[in-house]
Amino acid sequence: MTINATDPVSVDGTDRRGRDDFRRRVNRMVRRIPELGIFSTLVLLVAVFSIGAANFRTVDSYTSILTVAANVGIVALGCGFLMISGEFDISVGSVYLIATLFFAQMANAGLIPPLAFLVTLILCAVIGLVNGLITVNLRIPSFIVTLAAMMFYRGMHIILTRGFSVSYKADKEFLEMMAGITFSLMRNTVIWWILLAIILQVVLAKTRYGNWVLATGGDAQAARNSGVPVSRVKVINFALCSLLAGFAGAANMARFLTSQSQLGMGMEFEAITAAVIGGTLLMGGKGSMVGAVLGAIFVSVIRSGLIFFGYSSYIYMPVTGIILMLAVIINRGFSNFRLLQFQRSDA
Amino acid sequence: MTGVRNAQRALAAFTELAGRAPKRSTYIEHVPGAWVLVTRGQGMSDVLTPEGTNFESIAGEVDPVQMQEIVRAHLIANPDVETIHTGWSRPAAWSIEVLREMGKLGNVNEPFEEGKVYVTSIDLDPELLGMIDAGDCVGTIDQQVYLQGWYGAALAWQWVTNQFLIANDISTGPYVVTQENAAALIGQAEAGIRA
Repeated sequence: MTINATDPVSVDGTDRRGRDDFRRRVNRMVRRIPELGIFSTLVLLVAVFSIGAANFRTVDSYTSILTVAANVGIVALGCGFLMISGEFDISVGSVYLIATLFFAQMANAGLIPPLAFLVTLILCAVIGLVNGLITVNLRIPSFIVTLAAMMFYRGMHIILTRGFSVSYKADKEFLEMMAGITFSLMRNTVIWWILLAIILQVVLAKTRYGNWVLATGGDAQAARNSGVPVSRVKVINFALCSLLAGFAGAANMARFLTSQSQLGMGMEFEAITAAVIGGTLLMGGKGSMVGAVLGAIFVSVIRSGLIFFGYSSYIYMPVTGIILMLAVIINRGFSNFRLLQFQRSDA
Repeated sequence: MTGVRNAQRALAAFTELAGRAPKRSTYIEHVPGAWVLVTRGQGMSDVLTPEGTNFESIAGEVDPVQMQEIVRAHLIANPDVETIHTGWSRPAAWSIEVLREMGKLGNVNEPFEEGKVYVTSIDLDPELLGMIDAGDCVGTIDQQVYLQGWYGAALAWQWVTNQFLIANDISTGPYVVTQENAAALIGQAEAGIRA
């Protein structure tokens, strides 16, 4: 028997064909489930922290991580959805803040709490709608539009409250459903977060609208040429993003019963960080709600894990910065790889 | 240095309860890096460390959800913490809620118990005032503006314009609020005498 140099069975006897098959299977799986990367990293991170710090392996610790993740995670879902369609919203922290005030004031004024909650969500969606309309109609970058909105709504909160805290004084039964504790220490906000993520993931992956969102972010002109209502998609996503920030803000009010002007400060960056770490491309066209969920948990695990490892809590921000940068580099590498593959198949 | 008086008061209150200095104390900077909060932590360390207390400043957040979970993680990782000090009334109230959930909240009306955590703060708000009144918070520093210079300036203006001078010393420094005087402050706030 002769051995050909081009034969998949190599001269040193190793089965190159088998290895190639395995690599192909892995590539296919990663392409089909892009969240596998962040999920594996998260599992590894939890394992490292669990082995390194005995106290980390407690129900209290895990539920604590999920509670923080849910708070940022609900906002990250909206930010991620909008980013997939190619736009940014950095006003979510201020919308989160103003939602606490809307909810408290309306409930204190006598509106029944579920209705006050509903109206709060509508008002927040209107804020997003205005941001979206300005962005698409006046062709102003969403970064600038939402920067202005961020300053406007935080400023309005301070003007309306004169800097004082506003307390919720109405019926508290509904609030328990919003942010109470159901399973052990598990906050209901975690359940809302997971439910919202499932709904949005289904919309993104299984509906025509989800296709439009991905197409709008991937190549707006090509999407427009294919009949996708690009502007409408973007405006709807702005509204959705603000609505979810309002939802998270109302949940915060339900738990702490006060609205104060420092709330939600810096939340926009944490939410965007979670979405990007979860695999959402900054330029749009790629990302998922599952990724955004995993990204939020990842950030929360880092914060808690560092405390359990005995590191100063001041190190959290630089570490998160490094992780964000790595996530962007990996995402950029991924998109360049996809582009290369596309060009090859085109040739 | 700022923070020294806070720590002395907290140390005295804890020593009265436990008969010794705290083994481990945590000070929370709710705005990490803010100079006034950093120096306050240093001042507290200057008082507590020589007493044998393992003193640590940690970075907090102004977001209540994140702040509570930072406190919870810190307490799970360091179960020997006996006192928590904050530079603002809100983190104190949020920490007290976490301690209550964890079954570790120390109350000044009850005998000292190992494993419980006692909280002190700076500034006050209606919720924390209620917690002080109930014994769930050891005490706080009242920083009403008239106690920190405005009173002195107003009296100087009275002297310049009306030659009016009061006969006795007036305390213009920080005023400590404990369970003893919390009810009086709540009454004053309800009467609209003060915020």
